Amino acid sequence: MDWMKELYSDLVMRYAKDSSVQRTIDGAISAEDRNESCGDEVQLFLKLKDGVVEDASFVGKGCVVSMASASMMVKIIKGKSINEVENILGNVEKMMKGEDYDEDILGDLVAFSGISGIPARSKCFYLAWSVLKNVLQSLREGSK
Amino acid sequence: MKEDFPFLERGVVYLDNAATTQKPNRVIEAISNFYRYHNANIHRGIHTLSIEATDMYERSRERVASFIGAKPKELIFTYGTTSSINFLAVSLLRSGILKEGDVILLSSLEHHSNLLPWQNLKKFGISLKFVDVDEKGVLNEEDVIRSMEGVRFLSLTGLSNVTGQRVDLERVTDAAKKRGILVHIDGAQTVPHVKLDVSKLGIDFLSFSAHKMLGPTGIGGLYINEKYLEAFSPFLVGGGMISRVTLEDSTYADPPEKFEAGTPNIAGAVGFAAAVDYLNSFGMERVEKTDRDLTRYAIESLKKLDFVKLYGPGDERQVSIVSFNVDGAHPHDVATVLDEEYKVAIRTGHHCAQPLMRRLGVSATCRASFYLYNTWEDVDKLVEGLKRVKKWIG
Repeated sequence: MDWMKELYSDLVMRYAKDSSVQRTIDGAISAEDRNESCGDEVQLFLKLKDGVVEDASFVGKGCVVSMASASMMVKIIKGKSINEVENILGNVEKMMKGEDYDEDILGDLVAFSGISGIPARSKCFYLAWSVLKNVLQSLREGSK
Repeated sequence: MKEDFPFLERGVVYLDNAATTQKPNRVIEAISNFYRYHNANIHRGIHTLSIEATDMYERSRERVASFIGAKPKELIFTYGTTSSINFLAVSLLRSGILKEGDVILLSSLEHHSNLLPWQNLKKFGISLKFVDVDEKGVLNEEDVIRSMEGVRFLSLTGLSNVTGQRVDLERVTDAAKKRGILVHIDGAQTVPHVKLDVSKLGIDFLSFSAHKMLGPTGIGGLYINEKYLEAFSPFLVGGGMISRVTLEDSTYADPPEKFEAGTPNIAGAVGFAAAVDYLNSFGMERVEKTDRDLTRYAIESLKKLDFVKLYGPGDERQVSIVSFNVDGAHPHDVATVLDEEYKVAIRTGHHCAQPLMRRLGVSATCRASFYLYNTWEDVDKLVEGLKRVKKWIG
């Protein structure tokens, strides 16, 4: 019960319902993923300059958890270097697995600190992050 | 009657019966008694226990067969509806009953398990034809009949697992028979809720699962009209289904044994029969009436919520299942709040019917499904929960 109040907290609801974050970015790197079991989808846009995320946005549809998570993600990675983004992603994954993680760098994302205890919804939470992970991986491969 | 179902002591409002039903003590005890006191492998055993287990297994077959109006030899025990349909599709091909150039007629209501096994036949030159539903997801039987031209085989759900629409099988089967079309009914949702008699209906094949009708998981039935029993070759071969084996060649046992290679789910069959006994003692007419009344009450109650959109026929054709969406709330969020705050268990997602979801223009729906132990209070609890969902998330 408590985790649910947390899961649907005012903060999370605000992020989920904030349609202003949903936009495309011209000339950005773009990638998408779907959660086939529920039809949720996220298309991510990343604009990089000198190894820094100059702008980030997404377009998608889905449940409160997947949308709030995507929304928080694009906000937190904006202005960060690729290394910092990798670090955020690593800590998000740790939080999801219930391992120790660095709360300070996750900001509002700690609203999902209980997600490891809700396996039925962790796929929703991770959807946007899986897209980001794929983008980071292809960037790494591209730079080799 | 609630006392027959120990699960309900948990205080859960269980509205996920289309996925699987709860089990009465009678079924649980039948299975546990089998393992406690009667466990032995069946057939060919000379000792008392084996003879007893064989007898229990075959008596179970008789009771389940009689429940659907079939002869015992016409009922094969499978793992469930999915394995029944896979078995059927492959056997129709191998026996030459379906061959290159033949057309199979399906509808866009079908569960993936009544779609993918037929898609697999396309590489053998067999083509699929589909009857579409309207924008509410309703299948018109006239459209099915109109599409029968040039069709060799019809495989149709008797009751949609998404919309709860009960298809008028008599009308469709009559029309098919007149045109010499073979008929298979996916009875996964039909057999648990509606009295279905294969001999009266005159269908050729029927698939169904025990766990959706108070029985255990891992066992189901495939009815094969006796005229096909010889032509069908076994799906699985090995122990238990043979007559004479040499190193080079084998002859098979008579049906239904020839279709049940390996040690079958004996305790499952015993539990399946106990489930059928329970349904018989409750009365299938009463089951159908209970499910229909609950469905009607749910539709009426949900219609009063202006933020809920309902799918399906919405009239007396709808039995046991109600699919809907809440404005502004994703089905997963709806289910989470209902579960956590109201202990109401519903299912959300595509319900293994992605083509139908696309037709309805949604990626997922919420689904409440009822069975004989549900009450009107359960529906009230659902409605109360949905109001909360709307306030919180919608």
